[in-house]
Amino acid sequence: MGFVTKLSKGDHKVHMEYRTPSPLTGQVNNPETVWQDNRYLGGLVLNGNLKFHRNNYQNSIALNKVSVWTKIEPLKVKFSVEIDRPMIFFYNLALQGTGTVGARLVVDGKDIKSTYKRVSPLPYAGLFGFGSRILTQGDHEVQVEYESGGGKTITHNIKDDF
Amino acid sequence: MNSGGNDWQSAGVSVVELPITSVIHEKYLETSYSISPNDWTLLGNLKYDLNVEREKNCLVYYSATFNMKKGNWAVYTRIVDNGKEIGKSRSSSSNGDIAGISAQFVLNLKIGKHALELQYYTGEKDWKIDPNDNFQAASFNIVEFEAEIVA
Repeated sequence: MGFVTKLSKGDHKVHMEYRTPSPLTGQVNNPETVWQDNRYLGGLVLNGNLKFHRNNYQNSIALNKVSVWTKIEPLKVKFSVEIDRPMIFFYNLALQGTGTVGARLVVDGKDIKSTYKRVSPLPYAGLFGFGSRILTQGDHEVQVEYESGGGKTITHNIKDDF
Repeated sequence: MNSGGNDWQSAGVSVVELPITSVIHEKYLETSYSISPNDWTLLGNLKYDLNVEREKNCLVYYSATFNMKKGNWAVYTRIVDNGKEIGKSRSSSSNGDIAGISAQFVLNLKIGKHALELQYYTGEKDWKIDPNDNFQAASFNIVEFEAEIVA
Protein backbone atom coordinates (compact mmCIF):
# COMPACT_ATOMS: atom_id res chain seq x y z
CA MET A 1 0.00 0.00 0.00
CA GLY A 2 1.24 3.50 -0.76
CA PHE A 3 0.49 6.83 0.76
CA VAL A 4 1.78 10.37 0.74
CA THR A 5 2.69 12.59 3.64
CA LYS A 6 4.39 15.87 4.36
CA LEU A 7 7.64 15.72 6.31
CA SER A 8 9.08 18.69 8.09
CA LYS A 9 12.70 19.67 7.67
CA GLY A 10 15.08 17.40 9.55
CA ASP A 11 15.82 13.72 10.13
CA HIS A 12 13.07 11.12 9.97
CA LYS A 13 12.81 7.39 10.58
CA VAL A 14 10.20 5.20 8.88
CA HIS A 15 9.58 1.57 9.77
CA MET A 16 6.92 -1.04 9.05
CA GLU A 17 4.95 -2.74 11.82
CA TYR A 18 2.52 -5.65 11.94
CA ARG A 19 0.15 -7.26 14.38
CA THR A 20 -1.93 -10.39 14.17
CA PRO A 21 -5.12 -11.63 15.84
CA SER A 22 -3.59 -14.94 16.87
CA PRO A 23 -0.13 -16.41 17.24
CA LEU A 24 1.14 -17.65 13.90
CA THR A 25 3.47 -20.53 13.27
CA GLY A 26 5.38 -21.30 10.14
CA GLN A 27 4.79 -17.91 8.59
CA VAL A 28 8.01 -17.36 6.69
CA ASN A 29 9.02 -14.79 4.15
CA ASN A 30 11.37 -16.54 1.75
CA PRO A 31 12.29 -14.73 -1.48
CA GLU A 32 13.68 -17.99 -2.88
CA THR A 33 10.19 -19.41 -3.37
CA VAL A 34 8.33 -18.63 -6.55
CA TRP A 35 5.89 -16.21 -5.01
CA GLN A 36 7.47 -14.67 -1.96
CA ASP A 37 9.29 -11.41 -2.18
CA ASN A 38 11.78 -9.45 -0.20
CA ARG A 39 10.16 -7.49 2.54
CA TYR A 40 10.06 -4.07 1.09
CA LEU A 41 9.72 -0.52 2.27
CA GLY A 42 10.48 2.31 -0.11
CA GLY A 43 9.83 5.98 -0.51
CA LEU A 44 10.23 8.89 -2.85
CA VAL A 45 11.04 12.38 -1.70
CA LEU A 46 8.97 14.63 -3.91
CA ASN A 47 10.22 18.15 -4.32
CA GLY A 48 8.76 21.08 -6.13
CA ASN A 49 5.35 22.61 -6.34
CA LEU A 50 3.18 19.90 -4.79
CA LYS A 51 -0.32 20.22 -3.44
CA PHE A 52 -2.08 17.72 -1.21
CA HIS A 53 -5.79 17.10 -0.91
CA ARG A 54 -6.54 14.50 1.73
CA ASN A 55 -9.34 13.03 3.76
CA ASN A 56 -8.21 10.65 6.46
CA TYR A 57 -11.57 9.74 7.92
CA GLN A 58 -11.39 8.95 11.62
CA ASN A 59 -14.93 7.77 12.35
CA SER A 60 -16.64 4.43 11.97
CA ILE A 61 -18.17 3.66 8.57
CA ALA A 62 -20.89 1.02 8.22
CA LEU A 63 -21.22 -0.54 4.76
CA ASN A 64 -24.43 -2.34 3.88
CA LYS A 65 -24.58 -5.08 1.28
CA VAL A 66 -25.09 -3.55 -2.15
CA SER A 67 -24.96 -4.93 -5.68
CA VAL A 68 -24.15 -1.67 -7.43
CA TRP A 69 -21.24 0.68 -6.92
CA THR A 70 -22.14 2.92 -4.01
CA LYS A 71 -20.44 6.00 -2.64
CA ILE A 72 -18.75 5.78 0.73
CA GLU A 73 -20.00 9.26 1.32
CA PRO A 74 -17.42 10.55 3.82
CA LEU A 75 -14.50 9.40 1.70
CA LYS A 76 -14.19 12.08 -0.91
CA VAL A 77 -12.12 15.16 -1.61
CA LYS A 78 -13.08 18.23 -3.57
CA PHE A 79 -10.49 20.62 -4.89
CA SER A 80 -9.72 23.11 -7.61
CA VAL A 81 -6.76 22.87 -10.00
CA GLU A 82 -5.16 26.10 -11.14
CA ILE A 83 -3.43 24.72 -14.24
CA ASP A 84 -3.54 21.41 -16.08
CA ARG A 85 -1.49 19.04 -13.92
CA PRO A 86 -0.52 15.40 -13.54
CA MET A 87 -2.07 13.95 -10.40
CA ILE A 88 -1.84 10.75 -8.39
CA PHE A 89 -4.62 9.30 -6.25
CA PHE A 90 -4.57 6.86 -3.35
CA TYR A 91 -7.23 5.29 -1.19
CA ASN A 92 -7.14 2.72 1.55
CA LEU A 93 -9.77 0.86 3.55
CA ALA A 94 -9.14 -1.56 6.40
CA LEU A 95 -12.41 -3.44 6.86
CA GLN A 96 -13.97 -6.10 9.02
CA GLY A 97 -17.05 -8.16 8.10
CA THR A 98 -18.12 -11.18 6.08
CA GLY A 99 -18.73 -11.76 2.39
CA THR A 100 -17.10 -10.01 -0.52
CA VAL A 101 -16.19 -6.39 -0.94
CA GLY A 102 -14.68 -4.30 -3.70
CA ALA A 103 -13.68 -0.66 -3.89
CA ARG A 104 -12.64 1.87 -6.53
CA LEU A 105 -12.02 5.56 -7.06
CA VAL A 106 -14.25 7.74 -9.19
CA VAL A 107 -12.87 11.04 -10.45
CA ASP A 108 -15.41 13.57 -11.72
CA GLY A 109 -17.96 10.79 -12.18
CA LYS A 110 -15.67 8.47 -14.11
CA ASP A 111 -14.16 5.34 -12.56
CA ILE A 112 -10.43 4.71 -12.69
CA LYS A 113 -9.78 1.10 -13.58
CA SER A 114 -6.41 0.86 -11.86
CA THR A 115 -8.06 1.58 -8.51
CA TYR A 116 -10.32 -1.48 -8.57
CA LYS A 117 -9.67 -3.89 -5.72
CA ARG A 118 -11.89 -6.72 -4.59
CA VAL A 119 -11.35 -9.48 -2.09
CA SER A 120 -13.14 -12.56 -0.84
CA PRO A 121 -13.51 -14.05 1.65
CA LEU A 122 -13.39 -11.79 4.63
CA PRO A 123 -13.53 -11.24 7.71
CA TYR A 124 -10.57 -8.95 7.26
CA ALA A 125 -9.94 -6.97 4.11
CA GLY A 126 -7.29 -4.43 3.31
CA LEU A 127 -8.24 -2.61 0.14
CA PHE A 128 -6.08 -0.02 -1.50
CA GLY A 129 -5.75 1.45 -4.95
CA PHE A 130 -3.70 3.88 -6.93
CA GLY A 131 -4.53 5.97 -9.96
CA SER A 132 -2.96 8.69 -12.05
CA ARG A 133 -4.45 11.27 -14.38
CA ILE A 134 -3.81 14.66 -15.89
CA LEU A 135 -6.60 16.91 -14.60
CA THR A 136 -7.52 20.10 -16.35
CA GLN A 137 -7.89 23.51 -14.77
CA GLY A 138 -11.06 23.78 -12.71
CA ASP A 139 -13.03 22.00 -9.99
CA HIS A 140 -12.73 18.28 -9.38
CA GLU A 141 -14.07 15.59 -7.06
CA VAL A 142 -12.54 12.26 -6.11
CA GLN A 143 -14.86 9.74 -4.44
CA VAL A 144 -14.34 6.25 -2.97
CA GLU A 145 -17.04 3.73 -3.92
CA TYR A 146 -17.69 0.13 -2.82
CA GLU A 147 -19.69 -2.85 -3.97
CA SER A 148 -20.35 -6.14 -2.19
CA GLY A 149 -22.13 -8.11 -4.87
CA GLY A 150 -25.33 -8.13 -2.85
CA GLY A 151 -24.17 -11.43 -1.45
CA LYS A 152 -23.78 -12.53 2.10
CA THR A 153 -24.98 -10.42 4.95
CA ILE A 154 -22.21 -8.14 6.02
CA THR A 155 -21.74 -7.84 9.71
CA HIS A 156 -19.47 -5.90 11.92
CA ASN A 157 -18.66 -5.34 15.50
CA ILE A 158 -16.71 -2.24 16.11
CA LYS A 159 -16.00 -3.25 19.69
CA ASP A 160 -14.42 -6.54 18.75
CA ASP A 161 -10.72 -5.98 18.43
CA PHE A 162 -7.92 -8.52 18.13
CA MET B 1 -18.86 -4.10 7.04
CA ASN B 2 -17.13 -1.54 9.09
CA SER B 3 -14.12 0.67 8.93
CA GLY B 4 -12.67 2.94 11.53
CA GLY B 5 -14.00 1.41 14.73
CA ASN B 6 -10.94 -0.53 15.79
CA ASP B 7 -7.43 0.63 16.33
CA TRP B 8 -6.25 -1.27 13.26
CA GLN B 9 -8.90 0.07 10.92
CA SER B 10 -8.52 3.16 8.81
CA ALA B 11 -9.97 4.81 5.75
CA GLY B 12 -8.58 7.56 3.62
CA VAL B 13 -8.36 9.12 0.21
CA SER B 14 -5.53 11.35 -1.03
CA VAL B 15 -4.84 13.39 -4.13
CA VAL B 16 -1.46 14.91 -4.95
CA GLU B 17 -0.92 17.58 -7.57
CA LEU B 18 2.48 16.85 -9.09
CA PRO B 19 5.00 19.10 -10.82
CA ILE B 20 4.01 19.48 -14.47
CA THR B 21 7.25 17.77 -15.51
CA SER B 22 5.93 14.47 -14.10
CA VAL B 23 5.12 11.90 -16.76
CA ILE B 24 2.23 9.47 -16.43
CA HIS B 25 2.09 6.10 -18.15
CA GLU B 26 -1.19 4.21 -17.84
CA LYS B 27 -2.18 0.99 -19.47
CA TYR B 28 -5.28 -1.11 -18.96
CA LEU B 29 -6.41 -4.50 -20.07
CA GLU B 30 -9.05 -3.65 -22.64
CA THR B 31 -10.29 -7.06 -23.72
CA SER B 32 -11.14 -10.25 -21.88
CA TYR B 33 -8.09 -12.29 -20.97
CA SER B 34 -7.99 -15.95 -19.98
CA ILE B 35 -5.51 -17.22 -17.44
CA SER B 36 -3.92 -20.57 -18.18
CA PRO B 37 -1.28 -22.70 -16.47
CA ASN B 38 2.08 -21.18 -17.21
CA ASP B 39 5.52 -20.27 -16.13
CA TRP B 40 5.98 -16.51 -15.81
CA THR B 41 3.95 -15.01 -18.66
CA LEU B 42 3.06 -11.52 -19.87
CA LEU B 43 -0.43 -10.58 -18.66
CA GLY B 44 -2.30 -9.37 -21.75
CA ASN B 45 -0.93 -6.15 -23.18
CA LEU B 46 0.40 -4.82 -19.89
CA LYS B 47 3.94 -3.87 -20.89
CA TYR B 48 5.94 -0.77 -21.76
CA ASP B 49 8.89 -0.18 -24.05
CA LEU B 50 10.50 2.98 -22.68
CA ASN B 51 13.52 4.78 -24.06
CA VAL B 52 14.89 6.69 -21.08
CA GLU B 53 17.05 9.65 -22.10
CA ARG B 54 17.71 10.89 -18.58
CA GLU B 55 17.84 8.84 -15.41
CA LYS B 56 14.44 8.83 -13.76
CA ASN B 57 12.89 7.81 -10.48
CA CYS B 58 9.44 6.34 -10.78
CA LEU B 59 6.47 5.15 -8.79
CA VAL B 60 5.20 1.87 -10.19
CA TYR B 61 1.79 0.35 -9.49
CA TYR B 62 -0.08 -2.60 -10.92
CA SER B 63 -3.32 -4.33 -10.07
CA ALA B 64 -5.50 -7.16 -11.32
CA THR B 65 -8.92 -8.12 -9.99
CA PHE B 66 -10.50 -11.16 -11.57
CA ASN B 67 -12.94 -13.98 -11.17
CA MET B 68 -12.04 -17.63 -10.93
CA LYS B 69 -13.30 -20.97 -9.74
CA LYS B 70 -13.71 -21.47 -6.05
CA GLY B 71 -11.40 -23.66 -4.08
CA ASN B 72 -7.71 -23.89 -3.61
CA TRP B 73 -5.78 -21.87 -6.09
CA ALA B 74 -3.00 -19.35 -6.30
CA VAL B 75 -1.71 -16.77 -8.72
CA TYR B 76 1.52 -14.80 -8.47
CA THR B 77 2.58 -11.61 -10.22
CA ARG B 78 5.77 -9.61 -10.74
CA ILE B 79 7.38 -6.95 -12.93
CA VAL B 80 10.44 -7.62 -15.11
CA ASP B 81 12.73 -5.07 -16.73
CA ASN B 82 14.54 -6.30 -19.87
CA GLY B 83 13.78 -9.86 -18.84
CA LYS B 84 15.13 -9.49 -15.30
CA GLU B 85 12.81 -9.57 -12.32
CA ILE B 86 12.57 -6.42 -10.26
CA GLY B 87 12.92 -7.53 -6.65
CA LYS B 88 10.17 -6.01 -4.50
CA SER B 89 7.61 -6.29 -7.33
CA ARG B 90 5.95 -9.62 -6.51
CA SER B 91 2.46 -10.11 -5.20
CA SER B 92 0.11 -13.07 -4.77
CA SER B 93 -3.43 -14.11 -3.97
CA SER B 94 -5.07 -17.42 -3.13
CA ASN B 95 -8.04 -19.37 -1.79
CA GLY B 96 -11.33 -17.70 -2.57
CA ASP B 97 -13.49 -16.84 -5.54
CA ILE B 98 -12.10 -13.37 -6.13
CA ALA B 99 -8.47 -12.46 -6.57
CA GLY B 100 -7.33 -8.92 -6.01
CA ILE B 101 -3.62 -8.54 -6.57
CA SER B 102 -1.65 -5.33 -6.48
CA ALA B 103 1.81 -4.01 -5.71
CA GLN B 104 3.46 -0.65 -5.52
CA PHE B 105 7.14 0.26 -5.40
CA VAL B 106 9.68 2.89 -6.33
CA LEU B 107 12.03 2.30 -9.25
CA ASN B 108 15.17 3.92 -10.63
CA LEU B 109 15.33 3.77 -14.43
CA LYS B 110 18.80 4.20 -15.90
CA ILE B 111 19.43 5.74 -19.31
CA GLY B 112 18.62 3.33 -22.11
CA LYS B 113 15.83 1.10 -23.33
CA HIS B 114 13.58 -0.67 -20.85
CA ALA B 115 11.06 -3.39 -21.62
CA LEU B 116 8.83 -3.50 -18.54
CA GLU B 117 6.29 -6.32 -18.29
CA LEU B 118 3.62 -7.37 -15.80
CA GLN B 119 3.88 -11.16 -15.60
CA TYR B 120 1.80 -13.81 -13.87
CA TYR B 121 2.47 -17.39 -12.82
CA THR B 122 -0.11 -20.01 -11.95
CA GLY B 123 -0.96 -23.68 -12.15
CA GLU B 124 -4.64 -22.94 -12.63
CA LYS B 125 -6.87 -22.56 -15.67
CA ASP B 126 -10.22 -21.19 -16.83
CA TRP B 127 -9.97 -17.89 -15.01
CA LYS B 128 -10.84 -14.68 -16.76
CA ILE B 129 -10.17 -11.02 -16.38
CA ASP B 130 -13.03 -9.35 -18.19
CA PRO B 131 -12.85 -5.55 -18.16
CA ASN B 132 -16.46 -5.45 -19.29
CA ASP B 133 -17.59 -7.15 -16.11
CA ASN B 134 -18.64 -4.96 -13.24
CA PHE B 135 -15.65 -5.32 -10.96
CA GLN B 136 -12.83 -6.82 -12.98
CA ALA B 137 -9.87 -4.85 -14.20
CA ALA B 138 -6.14 -4.99 -14.70
CA SER B 139 -3.70 -2.14 -15.05
CA PHE B 140 -0.04 -1.18 -15.04
CA ASN B 141 0.94 2.40 -14.15
CA ILE B 142 4.28 4.20 -14.08
CA VAL B 143 4.73 7.80 -12.95
CA GLU B 144 8.09 9.48 -13.58
CA PHE B 145 9.11 12.08 -10.99
CA GLU B 146 11.82 14.53 -10.32
CA ALA B 147 12.32 12.84 -6.98
CA GLU B 148 14.86 11.17 -4.75
CA ILE B 149 14.53 7.53 -3.68
CA VAL B 150 15.17 7.19 0.03
CA ALA B 151 14.87 3.47 0.66
